Amino acid sequence: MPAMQPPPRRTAAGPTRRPPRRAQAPAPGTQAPGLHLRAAGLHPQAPEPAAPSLAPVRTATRRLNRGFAAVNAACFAVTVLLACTAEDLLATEVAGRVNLGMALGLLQGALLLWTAARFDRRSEHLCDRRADALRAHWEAQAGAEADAEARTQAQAPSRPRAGHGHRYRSHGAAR
Amino acid sequence: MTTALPPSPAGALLLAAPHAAAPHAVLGESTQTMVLISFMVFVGLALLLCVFAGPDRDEVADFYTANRTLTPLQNALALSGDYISAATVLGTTGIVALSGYDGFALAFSTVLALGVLLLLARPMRNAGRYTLGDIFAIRASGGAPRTAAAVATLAVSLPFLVVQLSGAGSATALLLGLTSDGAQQTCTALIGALMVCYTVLGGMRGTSLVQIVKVVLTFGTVVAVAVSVLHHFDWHPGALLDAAARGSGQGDAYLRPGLQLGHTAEGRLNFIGLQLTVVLGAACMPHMIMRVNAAPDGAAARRSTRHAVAMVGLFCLVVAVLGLGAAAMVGDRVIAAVNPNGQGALLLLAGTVEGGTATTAGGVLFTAVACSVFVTVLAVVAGITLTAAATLAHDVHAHAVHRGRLTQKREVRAVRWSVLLFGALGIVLSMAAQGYNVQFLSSLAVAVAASAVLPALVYSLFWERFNRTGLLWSVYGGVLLSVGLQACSPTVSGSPFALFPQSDFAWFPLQTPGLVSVPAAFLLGWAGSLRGARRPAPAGEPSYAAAEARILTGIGSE
Repeated sequence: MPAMQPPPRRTAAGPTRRPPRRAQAPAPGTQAPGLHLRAAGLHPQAPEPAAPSLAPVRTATRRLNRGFAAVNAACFAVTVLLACTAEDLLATEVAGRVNLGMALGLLQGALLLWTAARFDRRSEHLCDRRADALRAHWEAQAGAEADAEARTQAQAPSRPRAGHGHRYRSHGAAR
Repeated sequence: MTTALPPSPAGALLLAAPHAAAPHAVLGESTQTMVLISFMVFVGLALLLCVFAGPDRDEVADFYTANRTLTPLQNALALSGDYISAATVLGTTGIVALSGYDGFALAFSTVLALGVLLLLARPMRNAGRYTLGDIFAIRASGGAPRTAAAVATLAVSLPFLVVQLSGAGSATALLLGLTSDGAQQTCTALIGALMVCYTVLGGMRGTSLVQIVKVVLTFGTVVAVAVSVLHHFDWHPGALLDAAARGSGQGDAYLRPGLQLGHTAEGRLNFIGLQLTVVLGAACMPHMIMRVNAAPDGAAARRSTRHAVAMVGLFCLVVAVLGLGAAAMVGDRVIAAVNPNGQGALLLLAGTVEGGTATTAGGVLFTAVACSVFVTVLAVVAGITLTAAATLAHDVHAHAVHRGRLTQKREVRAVRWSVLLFGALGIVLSMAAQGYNVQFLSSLAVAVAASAVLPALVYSLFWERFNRTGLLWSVYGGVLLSVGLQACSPTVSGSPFALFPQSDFAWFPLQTPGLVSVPAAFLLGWAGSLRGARRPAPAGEPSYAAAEARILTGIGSE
């Protein structure tokens, strides 16, 4: 795994003032980050930035997480509180023998399924592609650095290296 | 009305009781023979699956995650299989049958818990590698966080394994017409031995295949029984609800909240605590985390969880129909007589529909249900054992002791020995638990997961200022609080249904400690992080920038 170069924290994702360039054809499965920003409507006037940033992924992830959690947590809290404090209300029959409590439960189940599907779709659209682009960028950067280092070492006088044996490194590069 | 139920609703939720009784009295000899033959066939098939699908090289990635070769749909099936324990199949059906609305609420909470996992799946997979300790390690280096992860994993896995194994032993013995304690202990030991074999031979790949087979079989079986129930009531839900309310003996109160835990302030707090604990803890158990880490990447993990939400949601809906059917067609007196928590409701119902076990269709349906329950228990305990063994071998042996300098071959050997060790411990404890009411262990497992695992996970993945001190405080605080409060609750002493009914040291009034221990663990994580920030970070401590980049993009993860 190539060494990772973490991006600067809290990088401003604000729009740069360069005129928009014509976007190059994206690699399979990736797009230039600026296109994602515009597609997502987060930065509608943003041209393609010079280097990808973690901030849009962070923002989109937080927004999606909070939306999904808030909707389902609020419904759950309301139902639990109603079950504790308004039993008569929940016992009101709304369709045949089906009462309000059961109907609310079914609605919540349907809401969970719908929000889960939406969360997944939007995460794929807003987060995954940006994250893939970032990862590809950093890995390419790390690969270039590794190549440069290898070239430097190749030019230096060689010396024998001790064998490593079959060691297994447990942590990823980020740890 | 609470008098009919013992004070362990959460216990009923996740697991088969030690008294999870089969209606052996209604079984003819031919049905028992059919059940026995079917059990043997499933045992043999599962063993074959594990042998042929098991890892053929000593690689840790192969043993722990099947080299992450499962597709999202396969992983979703396996995730659903890990999640659908005997408690969901037997316990939830029983609570719906006996408590009506409160059972529905529990079924919904069970599904909603997967919503929590859906939020965590992608960052968890990006951050993690195999175990909970790997996730903690991205925020704090060294052996202490890994040891804490191992303690939390074992504190969840061991009680959950014991309650499943002891319940499975009793149920299997009763299904085969054996009632003595010795027979039940023998069945427990045999099931435990099978569990160890599956795990040692199959690793993650073998157990995943068993989980997938189990989900398909169980799903098909419960749908068949539900169709039979609905057909019996001419596909009219109103008629089913009417009959269930009559059969429950509670009338209109059956479909109102409060039947299970009462209408007192304490009952309401118990209800809230139970719901909260289930939602926050049920899907954060370490074997679920390990399953998520078997996905190829973060997006696949999230996709698998989304599919699992749908599968488990549908499953719980069907289970609710079965509970209503049991109340309507069997009646609460028979169900409560077989087991006060209603865990015999599904088998009783299966022995009633389609003309009962005397008819061919009824006999086949009953046998299928019995096999589903058997395979469900086997698959879940194998998953739990794999996770516990992985944390012993990977977090403790390979990292805390050998500081990550262990060869793959030696680690795989260590994990196999850990399976044997943990399996043997589980078998011995399960055999010793025969005759005791240990259902509270399942609520304990969920409470520990909600208190010790979830806060540390949430902080690790989402909070910049979280550090080693906060991690250790929240994990150890969560474990101690949940175990301590559960030990002082009415589920352990001071009530006729407690573990020690003759003793009384229950000063904590609630049956589930989650209402106190979960907020306290979050608070401890926050306070510990503030305190830890006063000291300089140890050398080599990972930076949050690197951790965040990895959590959000998956860079550096395998």
